[in-house]
Amino acid sequence: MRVALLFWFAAAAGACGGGSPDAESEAAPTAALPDLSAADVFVREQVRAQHASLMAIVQTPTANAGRRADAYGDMGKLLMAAALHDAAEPHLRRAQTLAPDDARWPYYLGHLYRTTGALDDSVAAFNEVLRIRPEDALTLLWLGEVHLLAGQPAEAEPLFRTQLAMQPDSVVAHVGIGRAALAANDYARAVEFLEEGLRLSGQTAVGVHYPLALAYRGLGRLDRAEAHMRQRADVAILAEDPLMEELDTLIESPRAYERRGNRALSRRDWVTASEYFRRGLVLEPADPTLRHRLGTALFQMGDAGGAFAEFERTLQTAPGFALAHFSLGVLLEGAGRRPEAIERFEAAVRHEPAYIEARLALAGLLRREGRFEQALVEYEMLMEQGAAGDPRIEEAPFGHAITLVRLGRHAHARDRFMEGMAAYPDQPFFAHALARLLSGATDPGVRDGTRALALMEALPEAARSLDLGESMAMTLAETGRFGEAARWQRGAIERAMRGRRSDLVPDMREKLTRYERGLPWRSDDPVEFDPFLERSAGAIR
Amino acid sequence: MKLTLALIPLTLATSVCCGGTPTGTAGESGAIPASEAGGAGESDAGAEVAWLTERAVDAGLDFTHTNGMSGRYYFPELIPAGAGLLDYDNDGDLDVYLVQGRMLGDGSVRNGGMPAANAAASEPGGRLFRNDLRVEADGTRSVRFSDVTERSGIDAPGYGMGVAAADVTNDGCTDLYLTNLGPNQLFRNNCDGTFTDVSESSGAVGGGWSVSAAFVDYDRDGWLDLYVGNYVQYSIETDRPCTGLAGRRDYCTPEVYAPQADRLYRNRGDGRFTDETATALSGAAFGPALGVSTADFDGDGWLDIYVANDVHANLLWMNRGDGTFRDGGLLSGAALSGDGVAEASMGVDAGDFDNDGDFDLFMTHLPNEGNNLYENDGAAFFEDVSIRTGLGPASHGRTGFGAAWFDFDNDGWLDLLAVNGAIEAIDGRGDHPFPYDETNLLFRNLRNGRFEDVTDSAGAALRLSEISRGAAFGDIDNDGDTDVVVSNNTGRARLFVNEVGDRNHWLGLRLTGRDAQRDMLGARVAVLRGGEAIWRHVRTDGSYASAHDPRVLIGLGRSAQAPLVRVLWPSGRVEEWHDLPIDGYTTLAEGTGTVP
Repeated sequence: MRVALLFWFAAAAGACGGGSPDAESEAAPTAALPDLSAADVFVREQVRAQHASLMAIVQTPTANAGRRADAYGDMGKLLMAAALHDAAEPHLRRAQTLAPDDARWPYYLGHLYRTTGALDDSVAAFNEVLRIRPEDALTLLWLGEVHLLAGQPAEAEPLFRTQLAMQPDSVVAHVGIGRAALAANDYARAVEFLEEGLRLSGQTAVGVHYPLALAYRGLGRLDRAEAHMRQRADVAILAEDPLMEELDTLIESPRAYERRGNRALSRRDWVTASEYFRRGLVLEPADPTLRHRLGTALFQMGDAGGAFAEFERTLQTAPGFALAHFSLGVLLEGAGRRPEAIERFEAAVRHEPAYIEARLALAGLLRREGRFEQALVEYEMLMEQGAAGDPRIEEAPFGHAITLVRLGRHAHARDRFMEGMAAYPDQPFFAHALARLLSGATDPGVRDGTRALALMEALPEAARSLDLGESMAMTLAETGRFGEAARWQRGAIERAMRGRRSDLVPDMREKLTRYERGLPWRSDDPVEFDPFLERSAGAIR
Repeated sequence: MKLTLALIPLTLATSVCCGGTPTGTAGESGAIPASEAGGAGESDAGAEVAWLTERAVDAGLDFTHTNGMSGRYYFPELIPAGAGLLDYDNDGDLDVYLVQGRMLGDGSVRNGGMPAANAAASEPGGRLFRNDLRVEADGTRSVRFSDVTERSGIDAPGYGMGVAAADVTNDGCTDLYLTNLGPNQLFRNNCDGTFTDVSESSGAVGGGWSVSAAFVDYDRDGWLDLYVGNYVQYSIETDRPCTGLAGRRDYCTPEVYAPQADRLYRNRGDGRFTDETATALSGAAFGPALGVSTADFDGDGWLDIYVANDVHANLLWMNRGDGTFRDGGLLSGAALSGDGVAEASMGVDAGDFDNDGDFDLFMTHLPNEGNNLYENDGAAFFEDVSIRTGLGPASHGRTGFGAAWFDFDNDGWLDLLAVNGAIEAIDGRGDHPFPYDETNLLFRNLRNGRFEDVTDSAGAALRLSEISRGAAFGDIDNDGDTDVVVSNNTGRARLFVNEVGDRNHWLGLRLTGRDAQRDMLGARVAVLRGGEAIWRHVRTDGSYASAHDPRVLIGLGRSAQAPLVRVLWPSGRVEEWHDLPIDGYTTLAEGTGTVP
């Protein structure tokens, strides 16, 4: 969420021309180039260039204090942007000394100290900004934030209130007061201000939901607490901050662009993300991560062709980049080019054997292509690899069982479904699939209509809301209740037609005819459904 | 420091009183007064006495960890290692297990590696050190460790992460579970000073990358089950390069890899475990787990499990009492920071810091996050009181790993030690090959809901700047106060001996089963005096990848009054003992007390 505030940036920038060269002589400048041996070449060059510029100004006798302050400050900003905080601090301090009325330098110092956990120094720096600009809204908010961080809600709240008096519709100030109240266990007041902040934001300040949930919990209103908890997101409630945003743009390196692009991806801003990735690729054209990310952004923008091209280019420079193989596989499968998709998924797991999503995709596609024995191998590997994944992911054991059904190994499949029911009691499709197998298997040793019917009747209410009519008809027919089976089957046909799935109706009518003739349904593949068929192209990551 | 004898060995419902009289200048409550700050307390002779002294090498605990640093910044290099305290030979004193690493990949070293550090490392594989504690007639005691790894039969050549210790076979001997990058190992104690590797037959090997593990009898069947916290899906073959903002090569963050699911293993009672993860744990996504702590957080008699995740919401598995858990995390208030942000949680420990009868949670975090304390309201609803208690702001600027509640001054209120070490290269260290060292933090409970950072008062031991990870807490010299073994990544193991806790009175308890002579992990102990209660619990888990002394040590301050002790056993049984001797250890067996 971004909230507009009054800014002093332009005014402050214009205020830095004063001072005299003599001011600098009071303290020797610490303009040594920091150790950059471990920095990448792009950052090294940027810092060296900035440092050369700084030295040129420092060594210019006519440069007044304001100009020197800017030079030191710019150096400090660049180092701060590179997270070289220890190196940045003396430069910003020097700038502050040279231009004591320029609020930018203590402002950056306040943030630098906040980042490094030096909260007392941060408070002092932000207070220095307020000495220069007593009503600066952004600084009031940040100072309040640091006081909250330091466990001083009583000091924080007046700052938020001052800001609120200047801007009565400030979301950040409302939320700040609410959080200060929460920290003081004043839950009612916390609810009042947090709710108002949420309302003023047009319900977009999703970061408010968590403290609001806790405030409601403190009041004992657990229903409201749970409702807000469900809406929470890790989004900080921050005011627009041009000075800090400027920092974010200073570093020009592949990694910096990757980070900016990733942030844009996370806020679903695909266009901005793609732009950042492209700029990173200008600096490092062979970077597989940047190029794969660019492909992902393009895919999300709907440019599947562009995404395909970028994924392929990724593999030209990094043939073992498993993510790109997988992404290509997803695109190829979506385009109906299944054999090629299988090759890509195979390449992905060859290069990254523990890549669970890729192996699941490979196993599923092999199964759908009728390459059952190969699919079985992949599913078995997945289950053996369970240690690397989440044993609660039921797709592998279900897929394994379904593949056994397709292979006609019904007894083995039955055992697998039963194991699945025990291991995943919350997943009704194991019981559903087993019921169908017990009803319609061609192997008489496997069929057990009574048990199948019991399984269907025991399905939980949520599962019953699914369209299980046809399965119920199958089980009823297997137990000899053909009249009921036919009624269920007619109902299922009606639902299929209403649901615009007339493509299913001919097969369903064929079954109905059998029930009307007093015959049960038999099939080599009585399960027929696959709850995991809808593999989302969103799997591209 | 002159000390007097504690019992060896422990015997059933008997005690040997060490008769020690607290000396020094403890105040009315028994707290060490602030006037003793400034580096040390004062001994009888007037000389300065550090609160904690470092004595590892003197005691023969000569161990140097290697992370196998190759210069390739393999992610696992930064994560180990833990330390374990266990009385493996049942001689009444705590032995030490220290986790070791080794070279990863092809074993070659790039520029930026640290071959000197690797060469200085102790022998490959984790090491078991036997404590040969000697107590002289005058009460003087000396701790002396011997490396007994080879003769113990322990062979742990893997890339070690952590250790958990408990008796999983109910034979009265403590077994050892080792977490690794790669398959974990379970060593069954043969009760004769040796172990047998039963990893393969146990069914609890797991795999991937495990860090912290906890033994907990979650189904109350009398057999200790096992929760294994797993980190991320990683292999050397798929290691990815990561850099800081300046492009400096550095270790990755966990977001680069997918989390690896934790595991819950049920002890079948026949030496085997079954993986119950799929059926028992539902409703929440696993994160990269680094710390695990168990306790009955809602007081319903069933042990719950808290999991500290790195940069993901933490998990609070609330035991339903039917063999399954539900995640109570988000609404519990203990899954995220007070602002609703998932933090990088590393170490965690459960303890009753405010003596109100429920278990609160402390966990360690990154420098910009600060450590967190979540106060329990008794129903497993927590409030983040990190700031109010002073613990959060005081820990800014450090990266916390191992940590545990312990009453270092035996005043009856739980204090904290957090051991630290960075995970991002620290600025301004020039060409230091491994700039991740930090100093540790000691917090004293002020008994008013606040804590005071007393690190600077504790002596030189806490001025060591190292890459600390594991911290195992226990009374290593049996003198009635809690000592600490700290395991350092790429550094020496440390033994911090507590020099001040025994100035106050104390009550030491070992709680064993009725049928099995094992420590009854999860049992809750209340020490009742004058209408007030001090609650503790039996546990070996918590901290980071480490195992603690299972005995319960309760500080009594200046009071020499024999307390009433009430025990809530994991079985649900409640028993009391009156007039237990103080200043010594007593073994309480389930079924030998009186029913209140």
